Amino acid sequence: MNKTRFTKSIVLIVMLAISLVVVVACSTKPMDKKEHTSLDWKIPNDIKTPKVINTKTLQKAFDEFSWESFIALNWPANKNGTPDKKKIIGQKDAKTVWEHWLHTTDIFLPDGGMPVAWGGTINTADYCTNSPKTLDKIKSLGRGEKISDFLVLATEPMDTGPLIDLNGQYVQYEINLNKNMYDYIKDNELYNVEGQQQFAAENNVVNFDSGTNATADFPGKVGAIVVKAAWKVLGKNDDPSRFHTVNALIWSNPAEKGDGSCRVENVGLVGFHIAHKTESAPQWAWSTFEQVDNAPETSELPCDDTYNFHNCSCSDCPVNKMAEQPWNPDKSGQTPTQVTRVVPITKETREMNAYYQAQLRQVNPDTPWQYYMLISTQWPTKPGDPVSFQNPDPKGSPAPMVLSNTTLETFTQGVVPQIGTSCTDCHFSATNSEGQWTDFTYTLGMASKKTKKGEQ
Amino acid sequence: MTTSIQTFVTLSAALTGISKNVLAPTVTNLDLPTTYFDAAKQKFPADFDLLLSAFQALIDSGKSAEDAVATIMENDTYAPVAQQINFLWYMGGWAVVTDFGTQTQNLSAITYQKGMVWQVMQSHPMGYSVSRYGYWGQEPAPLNDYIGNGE
Repeated sequence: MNKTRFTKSIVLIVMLAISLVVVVACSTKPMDKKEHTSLDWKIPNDIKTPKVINTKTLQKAFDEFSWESFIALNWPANKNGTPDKKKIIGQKDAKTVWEHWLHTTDIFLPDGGMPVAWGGTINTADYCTNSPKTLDKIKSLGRGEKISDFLVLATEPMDTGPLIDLNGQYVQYEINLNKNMYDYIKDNELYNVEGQQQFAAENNVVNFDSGTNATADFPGKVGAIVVKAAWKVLGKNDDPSRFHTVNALIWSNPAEKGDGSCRVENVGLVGFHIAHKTESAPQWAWSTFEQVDNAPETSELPCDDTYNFHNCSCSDCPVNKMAEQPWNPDKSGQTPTQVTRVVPITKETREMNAYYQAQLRQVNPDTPWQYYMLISTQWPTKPGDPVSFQNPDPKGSPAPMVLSNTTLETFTQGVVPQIGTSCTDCHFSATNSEGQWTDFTYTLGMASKKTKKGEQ
Repeated sequence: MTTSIQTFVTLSAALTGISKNVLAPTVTNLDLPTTYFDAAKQKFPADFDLLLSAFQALIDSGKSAEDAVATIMENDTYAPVAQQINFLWYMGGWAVVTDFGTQTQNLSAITYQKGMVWQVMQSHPMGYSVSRYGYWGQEPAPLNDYIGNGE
């Protein structure tokens, strides 16, 4: 080989190498945020009103609102809980915006005292009976400035009974409120029974803020939001890459026959409710999401896939039946709950799910967020004043008439409202500890009476 | 909405005295006109179509919906079907005459809840209420808010 040919070969190899590096770099480069117009960190204030108004177009508008909310709430957060605008959801599984919101346990303290400051957290040592040494070790597992998520509910939020996964583990729940709702509760001292009594004695009626779209004169605002999340302990046969995961501190709640101890588990998100009060939905917009592997639809049986809460090889397992009492999250050898989805997801919602899942996959083909799906959004078809006795339909005739999440309303799924789950129908009856209207939230009923410690 | 269902809704509004906007709102959580249209067609396979055609012919001849219904109710073939449709809207089911009187054979639990009788009563069915705690101590909304103003 002469020198010229040798040099040419070297140049060719170098050029090829550079091309390869460029190709690899381009393929791994995070997608520009502008390429994902439907992936935004902004929580939508309200629906985008469709040009043609009918049931179908409004359902679509509310479903889009749900997906946009899901994406914004699960956006990677900065340490202070604000969305990290430099990142895109899906690039890496990270702590999300809503996970920085306060838990109901941070707000409605057992002593009726002032809630934890926004951005703070309760002292879990007050709850966990484990030795402080053990807790110190647990703290070291925490992410960022905050210790692990603290899960305190092992029976479903509605107390209908525990959901037990195929590994015999209880699903764990949490309820978190956004700052708007937190401020309203704190400012009006609705975090204890005495404050609620005083509020009512002054002829006040609970009325949380409504999300409002921007206009020429108004910048727009997010309304009160409640998130309910269901988590499963990841174990045998679970693929963690298909879940948004956190290391959670699970409290064995004595009120649920637990022993008061805490343990750390890696848990995966399996169910997610978003309730947002908006101007177009004074009865609130109720969005619910699930991890795609939860359970088959009843019409899909017999099945041969792998699910989180359904064993396809057990054709005679009783379906959607509660575990036998006594319920105890610490009991070993639990019988798994055999779950099916009673009300199918509509074709339109499936199509929308496919669209958003593809968007998330485009950001990162391995993102766990591609494994979540919207079940539906319940919204009022007659969005009048829910409080007025002069409104003949204060519930607002919600559509769809029923809506369930297999991990949050497992045992109350059905097709007839008030027998089967309807978010609006159920939450319309919500009251505080004194039986007064609480604007569709049961959380105010968690308030305790003030003790001497709480007065300090 | 198909032409037949539109005719059915016009007929239903004239029969019941309830606004078309209440019977068939543009935004709704339950398409009752289609549910009831299909149920009536199944129950009266021949006479239902004849009734709708006769009613539409009367409208086309220039009669008002109310006058057309008055004529229909004088016809021995159409009147029993029209009465059943009226009963269906009010009660959410068919009228069945038994030894114990007229009873309702509901199409479903939901149509029972959606019966217009509860609207006219400014009340609610047993076992399901849209009103909040304490409503019984308050004046109900005006009747027109429940059944429309005839539009």
